[in-house]
Amino acid sequence: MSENFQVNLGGLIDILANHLYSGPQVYLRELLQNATDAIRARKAKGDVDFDPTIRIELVTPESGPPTMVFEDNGVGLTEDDVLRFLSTVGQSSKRQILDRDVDFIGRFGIGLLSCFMVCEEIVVISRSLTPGSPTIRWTGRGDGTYEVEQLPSEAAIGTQVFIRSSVDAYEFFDPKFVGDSLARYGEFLGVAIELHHGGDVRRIDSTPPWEDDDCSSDDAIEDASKRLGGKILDAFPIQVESAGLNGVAYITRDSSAMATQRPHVVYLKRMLLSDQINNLLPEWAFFVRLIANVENLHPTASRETFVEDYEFEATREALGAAIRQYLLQLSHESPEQFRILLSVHHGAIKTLCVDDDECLKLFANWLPFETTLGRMTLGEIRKRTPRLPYTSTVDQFRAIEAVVQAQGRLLINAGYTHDTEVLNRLAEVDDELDIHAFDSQRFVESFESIDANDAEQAEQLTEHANALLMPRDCEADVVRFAPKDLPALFVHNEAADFLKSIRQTREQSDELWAGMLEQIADENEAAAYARLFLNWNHPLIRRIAVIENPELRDRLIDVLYAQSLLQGRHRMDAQERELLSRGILSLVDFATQT
Amino acid sequence: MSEYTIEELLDQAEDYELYDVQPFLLAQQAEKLAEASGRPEDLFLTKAKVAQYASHVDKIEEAMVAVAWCFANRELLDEIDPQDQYRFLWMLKNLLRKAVDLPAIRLEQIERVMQQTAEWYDEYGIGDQVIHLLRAQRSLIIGDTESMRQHWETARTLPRDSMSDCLACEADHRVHFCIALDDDEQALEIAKPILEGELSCSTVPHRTYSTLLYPLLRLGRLDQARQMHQAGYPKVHRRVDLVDPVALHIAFDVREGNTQQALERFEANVHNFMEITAYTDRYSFLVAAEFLFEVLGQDQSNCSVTLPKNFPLHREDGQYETATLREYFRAEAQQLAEKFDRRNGNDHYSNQHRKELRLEVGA
Repeated sequence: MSENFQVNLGGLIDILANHLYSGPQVYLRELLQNATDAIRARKAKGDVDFDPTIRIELVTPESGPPTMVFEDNGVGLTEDDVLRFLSTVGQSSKRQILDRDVDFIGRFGIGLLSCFMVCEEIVVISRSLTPGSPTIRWTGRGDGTYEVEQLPSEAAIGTQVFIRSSVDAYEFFDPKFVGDSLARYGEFLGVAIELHHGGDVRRIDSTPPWEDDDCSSDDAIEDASKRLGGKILDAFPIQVESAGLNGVAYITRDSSAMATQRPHVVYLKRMLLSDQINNLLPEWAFFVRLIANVENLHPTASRETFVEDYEFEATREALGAAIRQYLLQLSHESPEQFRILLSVHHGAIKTLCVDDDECLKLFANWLPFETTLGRMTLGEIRKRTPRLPYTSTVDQFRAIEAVVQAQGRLLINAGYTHDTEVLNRLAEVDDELDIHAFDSQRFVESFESIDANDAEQAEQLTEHANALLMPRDCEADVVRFAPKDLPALFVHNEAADFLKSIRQTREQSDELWAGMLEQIADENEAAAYARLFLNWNHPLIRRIAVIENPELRDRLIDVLYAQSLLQGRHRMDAQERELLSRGILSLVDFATQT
Repeated sequence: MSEYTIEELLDQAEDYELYDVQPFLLAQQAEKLAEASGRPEDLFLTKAKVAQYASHVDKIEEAMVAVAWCFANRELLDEIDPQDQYRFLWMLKNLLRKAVDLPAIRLEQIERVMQQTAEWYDEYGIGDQVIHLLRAQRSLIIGDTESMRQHWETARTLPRDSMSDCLACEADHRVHFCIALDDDEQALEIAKPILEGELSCSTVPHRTYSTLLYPLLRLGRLDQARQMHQAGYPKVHRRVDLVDPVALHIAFDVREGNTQQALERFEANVHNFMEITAYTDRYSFLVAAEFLFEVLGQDQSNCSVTLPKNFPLHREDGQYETATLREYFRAEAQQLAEKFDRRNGNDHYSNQHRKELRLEVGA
């Protein structure tokens, strides 16, 4: 024996209110949707001799609950329709004819139930367009009971929905709230919506941005700025035929990081689906926001987002291609505008360039980079030199920046997001450029050696320094380099650094791991030393070279070493921190003793 | 000290593909900040991240050093975010799989680390399946097929858990095991759902195509091997974590007489070869390079090759004697094979594995 499930309507409404819909306010959207679909159905039946209207009468008495009559002059319902569609949860009148060419917005058959989130009883009075149809009244209640009856009077063709606010839902009948919600969801429906309250009438019907002849005019941009809640740099129409997507893409003026928090405003069959859609564009296009209408993508049951199916993916891809095309065109036709766009959104464009060689070739010269010679575009850099050394991290750049700068040489800081990837890709697609990772070891070869007059003193200082530093895997050298106000430069050696971290870790490890680390260290034994360059151009270094007190000299070298590590943002272990504080203490002692 | 905070640097690292080297560099910067901060939990987190990103780009030695610190300070694992805890435990598995790639690490040391890891996993409710699978993979790499079979069979009897590989990776491992047991037909059968797109992940089917080249050639199915080659190479092109499959595709090009294409692919990937410390993958690339210059040398005594500046024989003009390059790669490969074989106590690398990498089938 089979039996039907018992549906608890109260429980179902709770699910709708708390888990499916974003909140009770969507009852207005659902009523608007049903009314619009009814009007479209009437037109689809060939009846065009009527003035499509949705009329809402809102009554808010000083005492007692507010009421609402939501009326359309759409196709109406027969008694049969009422029994099948209003009295059966999940049955949609629209699903029966989905394959036909009618643009229904709804299809889940649960829309009217959303009214139970704000009232306890719904009364529907309807007369169908079908000739000879009587006026029908359907009364449904939150407990799941309903009645259907024929009325003797002949109402106009269409449907009226009567609802009275439940005690806890008055706020959802507030005239401003109702008017704003109707405008939010339905201003672009193309059906005249009238809200009557007291003696006031508010008419809701606007031209959508995607039907604006010039979406980048000042007025249009200002209007879009208000709708999107951010400043806009430029706008262009955007279409995806397969999705029936017609919209406007807005380039934000906000920095890209902020723009990621700003979603798109998307309409489905001209009714607002959501102003929180954030996955309709490829990730790299986070500087673009859309206001768009979609005809063919599938909404989820909540109608607050899209099902992420194949069509959705294809649409996202097509939108990405359209934005890319816009950028290419802009760079050709309006270079100044493109430069302004890049100044705000170079991060996004770099992301695009990493995966798209064509864009990389076209946009590369526009991309800005931080260099030792100031902020420059790649085009400006290549005018100076085809040799483009870069550092992969900001810290590496900062460590050597002052010295490279003082020598008037160019070094690119490619430590910001995707900079290194862009340069590496560019090295592969552009044969004219010699793009390579900065080699600090080779760079220091350009430092001047000490002339014969000072050679002996410098050599002695080198010896003293090496005696102190060699146990730390660091080799000292006394040379001349610019800037002359920098007394010492520590040039790290990756392999030496690695050995140092092995040594530090080994000290903490058990016998098993210490053994393995030892073996790894042995494999890397041939590694070169890090180097500390003492700058003979600096008076401090020349003074240290002639200090006769070995204790003072050594402490000064310790301090110089530790200070050069700090200045270069290099790793400092506990012993090195100790060197610094011990050195300074000794200097204080020496100063106070003398 | 740095323009960014630890959190910002680690957030930036998340923006990259896992097989990009940049997250590793960013994690290293974060590690320096953590060292200066004096907060042990920050240091643990950043060391864990360094190990994670290093292992993704086959910088195995660097990952081992960071993990050694984590083992020495294991109580700090509880101090970090649960999601990072899970990532750390997952990374341990990947690292153990790759530890055998370092010939300097002895097999009994690897086994002891596996035991330590199993104990650590046990504290977090993770079972032994993953450890047995790792042992099977270790045995596969060192050419001990009997041990591989035993551990694989044990792993199959144990339940999957949060540390189990994804289904695509599991199928890929089984393909490897079957090939090692000379059951090529079964390997192809297991690979079917991978090749038909039913099972996939970030490294599968990428590596599977190259894995199937050898068995297909062994079965005499050259057309199918060519299909695998054609579909497979674009997926591993320039992937620093997939130098091993790249090497097999280069060897296939050489075998097919497409030496020009092989040379282009060699040039496109040699930079990655220079970067990694996964010596098994380095060995694969060395053998493929030796094979390439050996065959090139049959027709031309000199060749024009773009080699990275840090390549030991690098010349600015890019002109090399083919025999010099062949000899360089041969000697490097041989030296590495000897290290592996000495450690493993057999001649698998010098002999069978070398043949497989050159796609030499038959007697």
